[in-house]
Amino acid sequence: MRIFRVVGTCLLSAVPTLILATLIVFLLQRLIPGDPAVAIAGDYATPENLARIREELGLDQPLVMQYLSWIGNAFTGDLGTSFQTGESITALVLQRLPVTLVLTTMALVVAVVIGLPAGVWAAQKVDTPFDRFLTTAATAGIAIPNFWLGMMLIIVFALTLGWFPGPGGVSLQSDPAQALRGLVLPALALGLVGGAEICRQVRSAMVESLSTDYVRTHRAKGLTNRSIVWKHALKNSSLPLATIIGLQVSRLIGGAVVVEAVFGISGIGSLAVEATNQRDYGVIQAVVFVAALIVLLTNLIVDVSYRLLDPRIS
Amino acid sequence: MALLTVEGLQVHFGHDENQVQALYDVDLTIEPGEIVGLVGESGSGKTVTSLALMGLLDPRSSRIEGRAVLDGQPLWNERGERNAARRDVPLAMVFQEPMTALDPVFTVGSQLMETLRTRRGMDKAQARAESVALLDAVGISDPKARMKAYPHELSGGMRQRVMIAIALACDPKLLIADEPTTAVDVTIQAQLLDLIKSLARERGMSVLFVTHDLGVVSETCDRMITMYAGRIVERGPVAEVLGSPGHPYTMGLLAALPSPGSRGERLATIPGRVPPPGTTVEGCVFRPRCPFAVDECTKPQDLIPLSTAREARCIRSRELDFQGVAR
Amino acid sequence: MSTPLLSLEDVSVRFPVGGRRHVTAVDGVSLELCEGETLGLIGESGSGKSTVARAAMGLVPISGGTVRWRGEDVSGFGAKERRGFSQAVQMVFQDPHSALDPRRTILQSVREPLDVMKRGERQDREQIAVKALEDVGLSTQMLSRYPHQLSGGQKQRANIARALVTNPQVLVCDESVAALDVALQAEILNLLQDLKAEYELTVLFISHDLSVVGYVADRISVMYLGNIVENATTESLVGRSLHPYSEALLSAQPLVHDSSAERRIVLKGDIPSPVSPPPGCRFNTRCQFAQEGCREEKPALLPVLPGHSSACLRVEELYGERRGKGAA
Repeated sequence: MRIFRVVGTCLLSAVPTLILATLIVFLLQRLIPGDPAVAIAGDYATPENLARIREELGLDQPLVMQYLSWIGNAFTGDLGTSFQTGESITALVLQRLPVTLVLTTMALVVAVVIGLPAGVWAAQKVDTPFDRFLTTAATAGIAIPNFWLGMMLIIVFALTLGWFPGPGGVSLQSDPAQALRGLVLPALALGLVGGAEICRQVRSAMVESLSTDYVRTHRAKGLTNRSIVWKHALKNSSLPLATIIGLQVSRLIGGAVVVEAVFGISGIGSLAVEATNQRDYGVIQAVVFVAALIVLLTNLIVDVSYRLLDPRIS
Repeated sequence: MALLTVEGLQVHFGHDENQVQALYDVDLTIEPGEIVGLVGESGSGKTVTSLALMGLLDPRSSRIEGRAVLDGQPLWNERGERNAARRDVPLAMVFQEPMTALDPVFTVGSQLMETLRTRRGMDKAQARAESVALLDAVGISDPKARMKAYPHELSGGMRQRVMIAIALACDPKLLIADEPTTAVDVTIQAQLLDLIKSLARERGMSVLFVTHDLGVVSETCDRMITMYAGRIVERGPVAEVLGSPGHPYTMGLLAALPSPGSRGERLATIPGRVPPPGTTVEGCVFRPRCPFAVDECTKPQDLIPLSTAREARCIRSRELDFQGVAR
Repeated sequence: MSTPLLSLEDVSVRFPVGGRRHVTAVDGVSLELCEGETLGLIGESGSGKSTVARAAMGLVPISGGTVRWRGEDVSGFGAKERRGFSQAVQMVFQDPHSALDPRRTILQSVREPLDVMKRGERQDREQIAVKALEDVGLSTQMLSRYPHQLSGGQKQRANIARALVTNPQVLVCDESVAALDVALQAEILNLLQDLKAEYELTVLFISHDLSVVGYVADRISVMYLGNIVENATTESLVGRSLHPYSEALLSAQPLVHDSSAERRIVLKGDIPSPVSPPPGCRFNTRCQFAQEGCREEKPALLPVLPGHSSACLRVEELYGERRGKGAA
């Protein structure tokens, strides 16, 4: 029952966040110089032509009306039509979203699989050369830009060693197995940085847990070190862990924009880049809407997991 | 035969030049079924002694020397490393802070059951039945329902009972209780002291009772050991030691106790401070604070037998009668 | 009889605890603190003893009753009178470590109350602070040190000095020696006795430790779950307690030279939560003498002997004999 109420309040509080995020993007787009009508009709279009296009697209309406009609439709699942192609944006997003979701999920798995054990190990060996090495490596890892790491991975593993396919040609729909192989390097490029971040957070949370009185009690009880570290200390560190993983999701979505461009993946990130170049306002806005939705959903999951992980939170 | 024999226990913290000695040549024995009080102020070394015995000092920052044998099993090897088979040593500990010593995100039942499963190799059903029995044994009403409780749902006294149940789950022949009643109210303290005494009696269990409270020692323990600055300065049967202390430090602690009877009188104090770990004092370590110090006291001091079961580390203990001063 | 210096009349303090629920931390407490005396307030956790002190000092709002300073209701005080009152009543807290600002020197911390009130010249304020620090036995070398450079005992001395700079008439000590080792505790207790004489202080001494309260106090009030259950001179309370809770509390105190398990009354169960105190006499859930009536009627604190009151419905029945002895 408690969980339902939590989910309910979280969903309610998500609505204003969604509206705010899309409104900011909506206004920013209108503030940036450049006219979509010009982009569609070409530089030599007549003023009458431009006026007609603006009318068709609803660009002659007041800004408030434009936004209200867009957000109203968005909540019913209609994200409008593309200025450029005239296609349904909902269909466009649905077509491009799966590959991005697979990419970010893989990247998240990479981040957790690398960051979690590394952090736990470092915490057990606090202030040893091993710990200092890992902490330094993690700090360096956080500082590495995604695109540079992506290009290095391409050069080493795709072009030189030939273990993985190079950029481009990833299509989940036609050849899923090959597409997954093609997503390994982008997922690494995206996830390694997140792993470094997780490693640092897990380390500090675990160092704290391992120095508590109840861990001393567990040692006095004669529990094995493995059980103390991986069961008790880790569960007690799970709140900061859930928080950092939740934060990573939004980082990864942001990072996907860059990494998809580097690897030539036609996901939602590259969709955003294309749409920006073409001033396809409707598409940009839809991408922001979907990204915000994913982040809010993640926050909801994190919030619910707090209550499942720690009995003291009610 | 003694249940616990400790000989020449020394503990150093830190490395190389920064090394600081915390315990000096601690010898002690505990007989089966005996309750021994380990008494001293902060910095006396009483907690370090109990943590060393439990193997809870971090080997990366501390070094242990000396010999300790419990029930025929050594607690550590010649190099001071913890005995690998420690899990079979019948030793358990109850800590001071019931609020923080229990794992907050696991139920009372699961913390008990995992102890039984690791220490006694029980299966889940056995462990569950035994856990309920243990909670009952430490006086927790409705033990079945309490199995599902989290520590934050229990009062301080209840949590300390759960701590004791967890310690009992290790089936100890020696229970180390480190200030187990310091953080609870006095009416709850009375309950816990009664519980520890009756458990010791029923199970033939020995208890090393670490405390700063001489009243608690007087009501709970058979023998007591006074520690000062990492050394044992006096030991003997509680009634004898408290009746006529053999060391000026024990005497000083007694005389400093306030009571309604001494209202209006000035309390005796011990001038100066406990020397911080690492300071070297020539001869008797209590000499700089001792009102009875003489030239002889600058020589190294041994524990001097006063009667069959009594010793004090003071060359003047036979010649001086501290009893009158203590009253 | 002269007017008490500080008095509480039927004072209650309620705190909100989430939702519409309240906890009545102090429930209709009356106290009188007479000039020159030391009043001990003893109780276990949840008894409300610290809240009583804070209410008396105006540090928590009271939800009922009256606090009087020299007979006058403090709620009617103007700004000037209020300042005078808060200078006259000062407090020494339990934890010597957290009560001092780690980034200020001892002298700065001790001078602070005077700085806040902007009293006199800086020079004079400094002089008063130095004098107070001397009085509590801290040498001049300590003045420029920071709290982390001081021992626990020295920090508590600094806290006492800070309470003294406003030249108060009442000193409230809330568990002021609870965190200290026996030898240090003895030093601070001696110091408090000296200061009491030198500064002509009246002391409200709050503690859970009967040995300490019994040693310092002239009179003792025993609190349980927000109520005062017994009120007497120290001799009378220790010698012939007239309330089952006080009796149990006295007997539970482990003593060095009077050790016998037989005299001890071990109370069953835990202290109930102050959020939902039991009806009737609040002690009835743990009292070995509780009867039907104790669960229905809340006993008033009534005088049984001269200067000795008890809040127990069965006081006559249980202690009649003892009372006779006391009177004889």
